[in-house]
Amino acid sequence: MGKELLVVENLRTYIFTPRGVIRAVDGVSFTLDEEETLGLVGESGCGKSMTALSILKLYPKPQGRIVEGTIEFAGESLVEKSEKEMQRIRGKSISMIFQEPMTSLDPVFPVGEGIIEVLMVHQGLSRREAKERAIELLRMVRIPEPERRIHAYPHQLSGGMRQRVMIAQALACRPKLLIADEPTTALDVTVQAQILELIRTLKKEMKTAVLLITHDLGVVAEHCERVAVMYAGKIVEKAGVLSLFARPLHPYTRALLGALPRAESKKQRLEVIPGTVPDLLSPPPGCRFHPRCQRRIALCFAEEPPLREVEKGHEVACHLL
Amino acid sequence: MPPLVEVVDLRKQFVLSGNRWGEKLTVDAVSGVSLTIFQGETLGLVGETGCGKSTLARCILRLVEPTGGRVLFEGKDILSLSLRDFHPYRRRMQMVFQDPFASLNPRKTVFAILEEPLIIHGERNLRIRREKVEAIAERVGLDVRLLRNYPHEFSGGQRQRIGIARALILEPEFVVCDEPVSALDVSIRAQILNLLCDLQESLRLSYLFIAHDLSVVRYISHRVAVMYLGRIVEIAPCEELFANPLHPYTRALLAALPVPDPSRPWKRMLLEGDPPSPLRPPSGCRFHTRCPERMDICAVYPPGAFFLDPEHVVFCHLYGGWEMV
Repeated sequence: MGKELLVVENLRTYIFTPRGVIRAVDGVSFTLDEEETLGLVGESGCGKSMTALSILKLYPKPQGRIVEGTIEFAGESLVEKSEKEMQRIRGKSISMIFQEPMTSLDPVFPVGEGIIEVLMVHQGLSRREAKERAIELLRMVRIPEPERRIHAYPHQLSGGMRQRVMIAQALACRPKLLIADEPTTALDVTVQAQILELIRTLKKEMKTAVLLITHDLGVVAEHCERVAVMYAGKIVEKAGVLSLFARPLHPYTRALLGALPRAESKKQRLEVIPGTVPDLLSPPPGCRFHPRCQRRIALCFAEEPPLREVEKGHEVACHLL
Repeated sequence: MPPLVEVVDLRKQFVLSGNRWGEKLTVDAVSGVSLTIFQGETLGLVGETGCGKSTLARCILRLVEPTGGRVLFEGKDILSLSLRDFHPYRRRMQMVFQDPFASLNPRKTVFAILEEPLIIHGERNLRIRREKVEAIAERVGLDVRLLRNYPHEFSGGQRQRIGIARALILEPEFVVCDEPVSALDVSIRAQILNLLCDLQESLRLSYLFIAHDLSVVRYISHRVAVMYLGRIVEIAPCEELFANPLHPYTRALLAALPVPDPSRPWKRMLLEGDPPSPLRPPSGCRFHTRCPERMDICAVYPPGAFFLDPEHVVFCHLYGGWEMV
């Protein structure tokens, strides 16, 4: 294990709308070591993407704001950085790839332009050097005929190819941290396997840490070393991947795993979490999971459970433990 | 027992606008698919984007007109019927759509959405319609008090329940579910899968269940058909297919599925490349460009059916591929 690269402490990112304040991220703390892969899992609307966007300060402005907390990256505090300073960090030491590669590539420029721009801005290369390097990068993400494809427009490439371009662009400056926000959700399963495998090999080669955001527990099991489970803007459980899948402790994590159709559960009923994810405009008081929890006690209505370490490296926020 | 639905050599070709020399481009979305669905059974249909699985389903329901082949419903060839004669069959075969946001009319109340199929099929009596709507709403777990609300006031899972209620209100025997849970979160997905299973049991429904998620298909299906670029490559009983996949594509699909078990030993069989464009499908076996076990013959002749046993069919030259008629 390397030393700590990213330390997020008690992060609160709120979005101020005419309807009220959406507490998208509400007191999230986690750390990420160098060269480590941390999975951030949860259902839609639980605040996992907003957490990632907060790190790069890409949340919607001016409605969104970090109201509390600290984000420390490689010893530097990111929360106080100005927009200009953030621009120097984005794409250089922290990169991000998004779910839908079609909407995150500019349709009116050839795909190579994005990579060339990154290299010219952050590494001060000349256009010619940048182009050569971009071709190398496209070869590295295993795009066939990179000399030709560098001139292709996004719509001329398949979904898998576009995501490869995004990865090449994100890794162009060998960032220390790669944030991957549902990088394979829009892709077919055979292509998903290729892309995840690619991220895994490149991460090893470049010694990059990865924050992998996903809703797919299968992807987490195969690609992450540690996992943080989010529910309604909070982390409810944090553990090593083996420990989390072998002994899930929070009722929400257990229910999520129980809701997965598996080989063994064939023709048994799937476990169900009643109700739906709460509205973050007015989250329930106490533990946010209590309205859907099968094992709630009186305390759950009144008091919010803190995240406590119950065994080494395994933290849970639940009154039952 | 004869099958409820029998599809024989079904074909659908879409003609795209011609190029500048007046040549017409065609897409073979479905090219010669045969399968059967029995009463009370779920046939899972898996395949990647663009393999033609949704087109196949729409052809079976005659929502698009196939260009060739036959669809038999209780032995009756429904493709040869005039639309007027086909109308009574429509209420016996219904569909649940993928996107619960796009498939419900935002300007109608839930009650109006559920009532519409009854009106179309000639139910004039409002009291009977109301009774039926309330009964079906209760059956799928919708709050009857919320029937006057509009679709946008419901969550994704609730909306999918509305879609299921709309499909079931005419008491069909055969329901096509086109990726009904793909847009839903894990916890909601389990609710809907359980609901579909319960409804099948109590109403003796037959499902054609389309999905790209193999773990979902494995959970709900009795038999599974795997499709690649417009053709079926393998059909087998569910457990048999997962225990003993024969076609290299089926094997690759299974290997690519992420398994939520970190202690499982690492095994990977990665396919190269992306699925080819259905505009110019490869010659011979359509999978040969990505197949790890391709032989010379694969690029030349399309493989015939090989029956491992009467229930397990594979279309692959590795197994000899005898044409059985």
